[in-house]
Amino acid sequence: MSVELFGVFLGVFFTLAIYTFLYRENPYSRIAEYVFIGAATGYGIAYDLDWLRSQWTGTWSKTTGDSIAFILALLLSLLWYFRFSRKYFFLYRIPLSITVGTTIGLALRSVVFAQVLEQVRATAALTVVGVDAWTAFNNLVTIAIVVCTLLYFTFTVSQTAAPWKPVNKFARYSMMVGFGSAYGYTVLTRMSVFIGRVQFLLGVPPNPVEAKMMFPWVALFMLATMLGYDYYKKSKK
Amino acid sequence: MGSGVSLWEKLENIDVRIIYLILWIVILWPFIYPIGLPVSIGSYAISYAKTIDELPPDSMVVVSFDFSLGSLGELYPIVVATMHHLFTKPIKIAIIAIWVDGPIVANMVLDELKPEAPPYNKKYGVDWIFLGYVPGGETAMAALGKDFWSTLPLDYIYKKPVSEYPIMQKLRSAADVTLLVSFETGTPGADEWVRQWYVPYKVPMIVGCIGVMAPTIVPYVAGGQVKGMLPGLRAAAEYELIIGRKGLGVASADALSTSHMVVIIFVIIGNISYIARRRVK
Repeated sequence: MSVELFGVFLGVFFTLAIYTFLYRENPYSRIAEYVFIGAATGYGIAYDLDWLRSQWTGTWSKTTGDSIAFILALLLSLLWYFRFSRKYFFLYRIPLSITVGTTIGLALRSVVFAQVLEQVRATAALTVVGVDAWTAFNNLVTIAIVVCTLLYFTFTVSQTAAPWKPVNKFARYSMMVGFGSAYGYTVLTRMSVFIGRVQFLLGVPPNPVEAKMMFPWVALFMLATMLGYDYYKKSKK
Repeated sequence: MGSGVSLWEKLENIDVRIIYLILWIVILWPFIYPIGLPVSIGSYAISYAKTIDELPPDSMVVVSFDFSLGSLGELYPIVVATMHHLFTKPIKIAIIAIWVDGPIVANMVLDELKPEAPPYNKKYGVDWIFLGYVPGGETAMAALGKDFWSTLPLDYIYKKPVSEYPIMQKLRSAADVTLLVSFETGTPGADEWVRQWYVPYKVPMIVGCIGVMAPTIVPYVAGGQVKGMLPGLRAAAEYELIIGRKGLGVASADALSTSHMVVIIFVIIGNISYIARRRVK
């Protein structure tokens, strides 16, 4: 078996092994899960190290300042591994705090402009005049949803008065529609992932056609072993 | 009435493995016997394609592969169609990856399309360049926006200094970028790009993302920061129809429709069963 064919076989095996979990938890799904986590972690670490080597070899030592910065960064990054030591766990917090601090600092400088002001401006610019009827209706609904939902989360005033009731109800239904839409997209994603694997198993181009030949045999083998094991366990009782 | 409710109860408590089996069948079936269900084209896909079509000649487009291999089934059709669309335009393309799996997918699509061969005839280093992976998430995005040359000193394929390539003479910072194209599955992704590239440099972007991300990106589309988005496999099919290149997206459309029909049917059954049981109580 060539390396390519073996790769296709592994793809078929692990795809089916993961999906055997739908029947029940079993050694196939466990193996696939652990191999995936191990391979993904190993790949990530190896790729980061490769990037460091390929991008910075001969570059980091050009000036003394660069060398010092590079060595300091390397030493700091090694502190991540103290996550696995009970005694020196506190050292792990140093790179963690630097990473979190840097990221928050970078995000804070623009988050208000990126995620608040532009959206407020876009909502404020919505109009119901001078546009076609459908757009006007859409804009009207959007304005009503935004206003009512914001009022729903206004906790500084008592919401017991009568006018609050329909506003809160409308806001609640609006949010439920929003969550429903998000859930619909989640279903789309799960189905799409599955469809992608089905395309692989059926060898739909550009997937390797050999997968189509291996798929029924591997599936039958897994099914037979799992059903056989269940039958054996039942008969022993 | 009593026996009817009992039937609904049975349906409500149906073994999930039966539902999985039904889903397997309805997804496998259209690949063996295609149905050809219609695909209507939405506004997101139209604006996504229009943004690429309206790029002026010699525009600098940065394409970022920000996703893991787990989303290949949903994102690969979007990636292939978009890269095909971009390579047919007289523009400059720089490929990067903020996620560690990105270069694998980029290599897959480059192997499939072969940009240097007809019909694209793009020259490496002149018309396009593959800069590879940059670790660091949002920090890397900010660093790239400030200075490409110092953040990625070497290109990904030949490991040569980027300063030696003609295309890179026109790409020093995000200020030189006409459009950012991001294929993504999560964080870091659109939120971070908008914060680090749109706010300081006003770089517009288009996004190909997994469906579950769509609700988080829609506000950016409304705000004008994201010019177009393709959320999921369904949008990939729409986009393939717009650009006239049928691929995996269109091939998946039937399976996507049949699987969703099954989900809808079971949601209806579940609700009817719930209402029927409540009435009895």
